[in-house]
Amino acid sequence: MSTVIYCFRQGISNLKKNLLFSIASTVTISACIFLFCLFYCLVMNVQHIAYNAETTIGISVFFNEGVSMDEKEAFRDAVIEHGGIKEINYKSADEAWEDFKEDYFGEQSEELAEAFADDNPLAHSDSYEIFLNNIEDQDSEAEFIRSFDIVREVNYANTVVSALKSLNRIIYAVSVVLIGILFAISVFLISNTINLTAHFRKRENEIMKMIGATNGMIRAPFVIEGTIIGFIGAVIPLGLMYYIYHQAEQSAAAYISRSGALSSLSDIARLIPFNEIYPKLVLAGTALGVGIGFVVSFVTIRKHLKV
Amino acid sequence: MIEFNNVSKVYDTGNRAIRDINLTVGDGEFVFVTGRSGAGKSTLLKLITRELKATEGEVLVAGRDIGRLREREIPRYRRQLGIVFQDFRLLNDRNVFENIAFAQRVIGASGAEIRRNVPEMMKLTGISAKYKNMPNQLSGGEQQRVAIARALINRPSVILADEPTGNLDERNSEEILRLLLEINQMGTTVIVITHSKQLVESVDKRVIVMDKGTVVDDYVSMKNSPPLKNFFCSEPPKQRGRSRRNPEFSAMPGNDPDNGRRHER
Repeated sequence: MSTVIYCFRQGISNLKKNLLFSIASTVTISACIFLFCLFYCLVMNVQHIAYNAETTIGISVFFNEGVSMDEKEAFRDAVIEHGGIKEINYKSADEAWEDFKEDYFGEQSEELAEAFADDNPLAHSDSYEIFLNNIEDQDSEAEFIRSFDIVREVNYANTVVSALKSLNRIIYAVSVVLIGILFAISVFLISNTINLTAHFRKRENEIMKMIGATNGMIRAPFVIEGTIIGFIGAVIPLGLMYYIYHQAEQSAAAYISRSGALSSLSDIARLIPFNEIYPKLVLAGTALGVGIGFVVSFVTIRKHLKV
Repeated sequence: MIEFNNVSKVYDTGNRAIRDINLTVGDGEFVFVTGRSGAGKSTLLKLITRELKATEGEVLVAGRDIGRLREREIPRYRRQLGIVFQDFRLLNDRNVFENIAFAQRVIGASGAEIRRNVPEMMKLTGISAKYKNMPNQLSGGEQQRVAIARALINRPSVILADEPTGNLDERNSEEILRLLLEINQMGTTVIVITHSKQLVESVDKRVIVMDKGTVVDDYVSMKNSPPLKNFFCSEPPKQRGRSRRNPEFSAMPGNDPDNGRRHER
């Protein structure tokens, strides 16, 4: 126990000896982890929105004019038989018009839609809305549905989703490059900090070696130093992210409600809840900070152990 | 206790620092190792501390060939040794107590052990009154006492002192030698590497003389004996006075008293 306390004290004393270098290393790790958290949130949220779009919107199937109800039901049975269907709902033209009025005209729907009272603009727009068990099957399912002669049009979220996925790929690529650069700078700075401390403690290390200290004992204060740098470097951006994500979540919700967006759109565009994403950020950020600090100091000090 | 059997050490540069040495230092012995600069004394010491590995032959300590020690076994082995350096090698940012305690901390001793052992060692080495002083507030002799206390605190079976009086005046040198003799009387083997003829001749102890990597003489110095030889210069040594050669020396293979410059013997 006294050895652990001793090593810990020495680790903290090392930090004080190289205060400026320690601060520089901590700030760089903080920047690296901050960017990581930021991009992680972006990527995860875009993915989340894409997923929401796929699951909320479903596949809408519209039929040619004059297709009888029996044919439509036969189509439904064939689709169910084909498999992979979670839910299939029929929406008549009148129901479609009612939903549209509610979404677009809100509380004044009756007054604004009066002009269309006797003429449903969505006549012949009765449809089946199909939800799949597995979102990945959407393209193949849409292809299958298109093979029916009675089908006029198949709509699903593929355009939006593929746009979101492309956006995600760009964010991902940019984040990998930026985090990679910062990661390299972090490694370089921590390594330099540890080298400098090792230089200051050269005499002490030599004495320790001659007295019979194990490599672990000599290494411990340096590894503790690196780990503390990494840990503090993680705590700062995680604190920032705590504030930023809360704000972003609230702002997004307020914006959606202010803009009077479609109810279905507000379901899609909602961010991942804070309580769901933040623990993951804490875990990943801390592991990254502590991991970088630990590994870099552990490796750097190796060359100073040869006495 | 310590045995060198046909030991040679050749550095990567090709420099042959030790040449086929045979040597035994018994338990509880006090031995001076002396010789000119470059004679191989420090290499000999480093072979014992296992900072270096013999190129040929074997170095046995307590019956174990330390050349065969694995890297991770070396720290535990070194705890059997107490090493005293010419430049004291104290930690300047810690006081006397902490410098001595340092040797216990690095081997994982408990706080209670440290609080018990450090004052005991300070008392033995006569440095108790200065336990709060920093190294730069101590004289050379006092610093060397702290270094000896640090070397002793883990109760080593061997003390290796590399020029322990090299930076000290005559009075302090005598005091340090007296302290090392006291430690030896308690049963610890003491090996002192020194250039100082005065130091060697001030006590009746065994002297191993090295030159060009070989042991050229091994005898027991007699107190107040006249200078036996000048191993600091290349002149042939003069006739030795009241001293006697270690009878085992000539009998050891590889140890030829005429190997060095002692042709007259």
